[in-house]
Amino acid sequence: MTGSNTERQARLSRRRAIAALGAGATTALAGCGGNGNGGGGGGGTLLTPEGDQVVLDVYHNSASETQQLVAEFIGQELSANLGIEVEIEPIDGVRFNDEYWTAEAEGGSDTVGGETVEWSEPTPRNPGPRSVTSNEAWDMSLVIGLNTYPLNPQTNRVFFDGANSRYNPVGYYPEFDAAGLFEEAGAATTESEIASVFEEIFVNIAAEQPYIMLTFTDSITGYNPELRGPVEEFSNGWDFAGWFTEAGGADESAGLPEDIEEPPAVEGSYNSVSGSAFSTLNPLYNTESGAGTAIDRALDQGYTFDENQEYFPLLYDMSTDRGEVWVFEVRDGLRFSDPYGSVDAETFVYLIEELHQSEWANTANAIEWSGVNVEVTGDLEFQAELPEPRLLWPESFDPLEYPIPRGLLEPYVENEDREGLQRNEELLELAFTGNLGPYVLEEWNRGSGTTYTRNDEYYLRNIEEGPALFENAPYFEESTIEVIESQASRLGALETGEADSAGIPPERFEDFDENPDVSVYQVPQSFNRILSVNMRDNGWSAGPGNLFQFVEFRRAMASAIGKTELIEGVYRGLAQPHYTWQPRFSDFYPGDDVVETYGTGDLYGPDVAREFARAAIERSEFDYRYAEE
Amino acid sequence: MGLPRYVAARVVWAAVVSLVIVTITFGLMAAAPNPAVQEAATQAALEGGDPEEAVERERELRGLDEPLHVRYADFLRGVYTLNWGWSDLQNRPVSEALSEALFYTAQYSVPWTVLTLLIGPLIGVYSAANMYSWRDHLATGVAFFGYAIPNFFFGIILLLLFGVYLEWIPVVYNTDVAVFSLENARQLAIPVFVLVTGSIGAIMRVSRNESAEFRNADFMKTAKAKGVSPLRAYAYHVMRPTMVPLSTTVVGQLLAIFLGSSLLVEVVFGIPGLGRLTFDALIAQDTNLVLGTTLLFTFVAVVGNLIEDIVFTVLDPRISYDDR
Amino acid sequence: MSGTDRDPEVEAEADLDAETEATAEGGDEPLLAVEGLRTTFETDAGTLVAVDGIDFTVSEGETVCLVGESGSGKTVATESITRLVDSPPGHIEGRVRFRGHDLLAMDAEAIRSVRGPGIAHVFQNPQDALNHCYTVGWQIVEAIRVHEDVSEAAARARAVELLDRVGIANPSARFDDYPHEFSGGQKQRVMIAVALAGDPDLLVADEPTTALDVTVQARILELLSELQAEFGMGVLFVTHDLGVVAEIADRVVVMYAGKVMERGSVLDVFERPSHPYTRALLSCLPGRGNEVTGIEGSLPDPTAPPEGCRFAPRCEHAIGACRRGEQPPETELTEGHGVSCVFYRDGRDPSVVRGNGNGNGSGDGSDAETKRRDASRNGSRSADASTPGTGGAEGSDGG
Ligand code: SF4
Repeated sequence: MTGSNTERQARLSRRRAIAALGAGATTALAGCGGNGNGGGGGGGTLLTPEGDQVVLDVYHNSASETQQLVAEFIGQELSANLGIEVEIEPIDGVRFNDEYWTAEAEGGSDTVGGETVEWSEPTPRNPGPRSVTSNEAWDMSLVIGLNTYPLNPQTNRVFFDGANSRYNPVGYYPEFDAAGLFEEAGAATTESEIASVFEEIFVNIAAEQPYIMLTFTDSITGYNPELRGPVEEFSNGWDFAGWFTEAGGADESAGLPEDIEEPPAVEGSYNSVSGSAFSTLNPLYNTESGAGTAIDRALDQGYTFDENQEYFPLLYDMSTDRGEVWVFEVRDGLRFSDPYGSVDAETFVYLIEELHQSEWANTANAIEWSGVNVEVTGDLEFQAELPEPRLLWPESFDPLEYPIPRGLLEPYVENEDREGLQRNEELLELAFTGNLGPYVLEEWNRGSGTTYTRNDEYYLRNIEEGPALFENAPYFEESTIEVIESQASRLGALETGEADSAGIPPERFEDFDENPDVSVYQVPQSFNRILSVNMRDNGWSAGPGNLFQFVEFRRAMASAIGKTELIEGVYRGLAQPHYTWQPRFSDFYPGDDVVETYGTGDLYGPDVAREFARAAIERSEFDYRYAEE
Repeated sequence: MGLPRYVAARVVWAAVVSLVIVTITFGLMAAAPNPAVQEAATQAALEGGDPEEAVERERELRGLDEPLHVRYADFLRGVYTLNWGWSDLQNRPVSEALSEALFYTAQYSVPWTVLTLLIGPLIGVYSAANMYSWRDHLATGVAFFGYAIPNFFFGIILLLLFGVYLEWIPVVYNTDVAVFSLENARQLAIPVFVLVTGSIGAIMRVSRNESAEFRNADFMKTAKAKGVSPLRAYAYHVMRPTMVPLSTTVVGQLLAIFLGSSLLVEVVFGIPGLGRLTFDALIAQDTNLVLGTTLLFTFVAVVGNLIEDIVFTVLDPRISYDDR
Repeated sequence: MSGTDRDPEVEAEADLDAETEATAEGGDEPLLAVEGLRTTFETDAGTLVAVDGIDFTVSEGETVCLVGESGSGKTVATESITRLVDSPPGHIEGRVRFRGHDLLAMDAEAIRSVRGPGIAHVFQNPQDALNHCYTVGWQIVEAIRVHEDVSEAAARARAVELLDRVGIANPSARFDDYPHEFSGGQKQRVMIAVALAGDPDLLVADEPTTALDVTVQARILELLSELQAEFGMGVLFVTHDLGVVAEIADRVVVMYAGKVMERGSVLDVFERPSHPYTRALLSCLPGRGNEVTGIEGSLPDPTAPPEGCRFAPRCEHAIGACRRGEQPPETELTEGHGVSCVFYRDGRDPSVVRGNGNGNGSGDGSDAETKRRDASRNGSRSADASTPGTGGAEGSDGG
């Protein structure tokens, strides 16, 4: 991950529908006693009906040392606090996905909470009821991590929308009305309504632990210490155009100053690094986040979210009454390079109707616009009618568009020439961007990155909204993104000041934190580290009756694993506790007072964990028990 | 047969070899299903269209419905006019991608090759001249240190030392500097050094062993008896015959090292050259680009072999052109 | 290098040409005077003594033959003169005075100026003695231009002239040919041209005809004697071929195991062979009975030479005195005819070793003349005196 990625992570997060975490971080299991506050004194071991010790396996990605450490930590915790012995199984990530995490989509039906549920559209990741299992049996896994979609939690529907949701490899059957609540959220027409529905959902998820939620790992980015602008917030970098350098350094985390007496000098170059080369800078076809950053330097998209997760209009403002019809107001004064004229409502409507909604073009955004009815309602105004109301539509990033000149597109539309469009030089070289971006792309060297010069006519200077600093933005004469594949070299460039920002792996955090030449920002993320427990029929290898199927037992698991201890011991403090399917910084996080914070404080330790476990055993028809002390 | 005729014959032979390889490539491609056609079928199926029809359209579009000999002729024309198709990885013509990568690769590999060919035999002959003395052991040791230490690792160490701590060289490779400029020399110094240390080991070993043979040859005694100084004797009477066997191994060795080390060094130093291009093309399964790099390396190998043969023949006067 | 106790600096500083004239005026010193030359090699098996304190001289225009079996140290002895022997592992002691200068005491540069214009070498195997990567012309020109500051063209002209002189037909065309394009005899002619390039005073020819075809040998020998006369060179000729010796030598030095056994004029040696070893060699000549078996036994181990006479283990006359102390000192029988054998000392009877009066030089001239004729007639064919057991190439001397 790179600094430039973080800048616009939020915008692009939708494109990483499901991400497997597990960067090869090297972390020692320092200070990890493992026993938490219980010290192992809470009771005996868990025995099967046959009287044997319960032994379960946990899989982790063999390429990730961090996962291995987490697995070891979990082994100690479950042993001490829950009386379960754990066998640690390293595995190749791809193999795990193919053989353990996915299965042949068979479908079927089952009774969930007294009602019959039909798996009418089974997927490899939810192939059917619990009786439909993957090829290989497994008990617990750390291999896969997921996104929690803090801006648009409605996206989480794919995980929790009932037992037959699209993504449910673990065979989770919600014991609350998840499907109904998501439906309610989707149909909601006011923000407060949405907020209250999601609060209910996330409180329930915290209580049910569909996955045993562990942590959110922070992303660590190093910046030139003289740089003003970066903040330690999710969505970092939305106001990138206003960033500037200030001799003598800035307060860390200060962000951009509210008021300025006069704009800072325009000077120097802002250089960031990318770990991989860009395949295309064609905004219509790019699906890579790195290239997205490179395009964004020269071309703004419709809107962004500020550090408070508030909608911030760039090219257009969006408004709606009840979420069904959205009105787009295109900003005045936006124009393409000659000869393409100005950006207006027609620009976007043409793009959506003739490309995204066409059969031949197959653009990156095609799916987002299917079923949406767009219509020009004025020179600078158009509207979009959705098949169903979506109050959080902007937050889904679905209506986020780059402006593309109609004149450029027309010949290709006429010939339905997709290949020609993909290979169009003006699109690939961003030669049409007019006053639409902070910088003008000078050169895209396929191997070594992009170079830009300042756009003297950037429209953002004339807008009313946003920081005062926008008035003379941007504040660098030039800008570059260097492609440097080797991490050591990227970090070297950061240290010597050749790069103004770069991502830092956790094991180097301390080095850089102490380095006066680099300011280190710990930016919270929305990707989580979870312990998946297999509730399907091949999921509990210890004996008969899969205890994972009981909410109480999953609570027991969550209470047995100390989150603070895990974060300090394995992540060196560079992670946040994960209680429910939202990070704490999310607007939709219900709050520590209503969410059950398993694995912390009173809800952590051998006593509480065993208590939950006993409750689960009560419900089980099989005679699991704790050995007498 | 004189040398010019021999060279001409060899060139013709090289052309034939390259044609055979290109033909085999075409055969393999014609036999394998075209991914673009597959994709069209899949897409049509997904969108509710008729996959058969989509396949037909796509085949027509790509000229796959033409008879084989027409397609072969087109393919040959394409290959030999450098019209190698479009790279999806870089979104530009393959030939453009290759020529640019070659441009950067040449900037370090030309000095690298030249230095290797100069220093390798020199150290080898020096070692042989001082065989089993501490000078020999030192020279051998240094050469084998470079040979044994992984280029990737060595490169990172040197980059950290000279780039990050001493700040003598830039960490970020700059593609904008002029080829013949101080900046370029500065940023290429360490990569070239790493590569040279990595490659002289092999060259040095061959030349050491070969020249050890010649330094005890009778003609060395003749030279000495003529009153030739030791330096001149080594320079002319040992070095020159050593070149003959060396020339038969060098091209192969350099090509092998070239493929392996250039990738790693390009990754470490951020040089957008052929090694990275080839690797990325393989990873991204960019068929045209993979094909292009394959053809390029084939041509390089064929031309390398051609040069090797000619050089060998020129170097060793005992080889008669008729024999080969 | 020289390993002697003389100060090499003093010698090296002397101006060669000036002193050459001085000695030439002095007149009585021979062209080359070798005294107590001892060459050893450090090997894993111990110190190998290849040449063990020999003396001999070569005068201007004179041909001296070093004779002996393979492995007796002849080649090492000649190569020690101009210090062609690598050191280490070789180590040369003694004095080698050439026109009054001690070659062993010279610095590297001074000795290089002697090699070529002073003393030139022709080696045994013309196949390997020429560098296969250069044209023969180049190799002659190199020999010229290393010593003389002449233009390329002038050197070339001289090289062509030399090629012509040594009997290469069409020399200006052959100038640019490579050694492999010449036959063995032609190659040796080229080697001779290379040697002559510096107009040397002394030509050291080490078995120059051994590797050649029988028919060619004679022509090369002829050429050498012509050139000797023409250039007025002294020639030090190494051979194990008594036939050749009989044909060309003025004086003969017989070597065995690094020591001189007998020396004398060619008549002394052929007509009055006095040393048992010389006699054994001569008896190996065709028609004298022993040509099949050669001399019984083999050369002593050069790293551990026997006490007393080196030849004692193979000598049919050896007595107790032969196996004690050092090699017997040379006894001068007549002017210039010396022999190293105990039977010529301390009042013993030399006729024991001369046997049957055969070769007892008093008046039996016809017999001796026959022997010499035989030698020269047959020698070139098969007079290899080496024993079957030691038939290695001469090049392996002291290797
Ligand atoms: S000294 Fe003795 S051993 Fe030596 S040659 Fe004379 S007789 Fe033979």
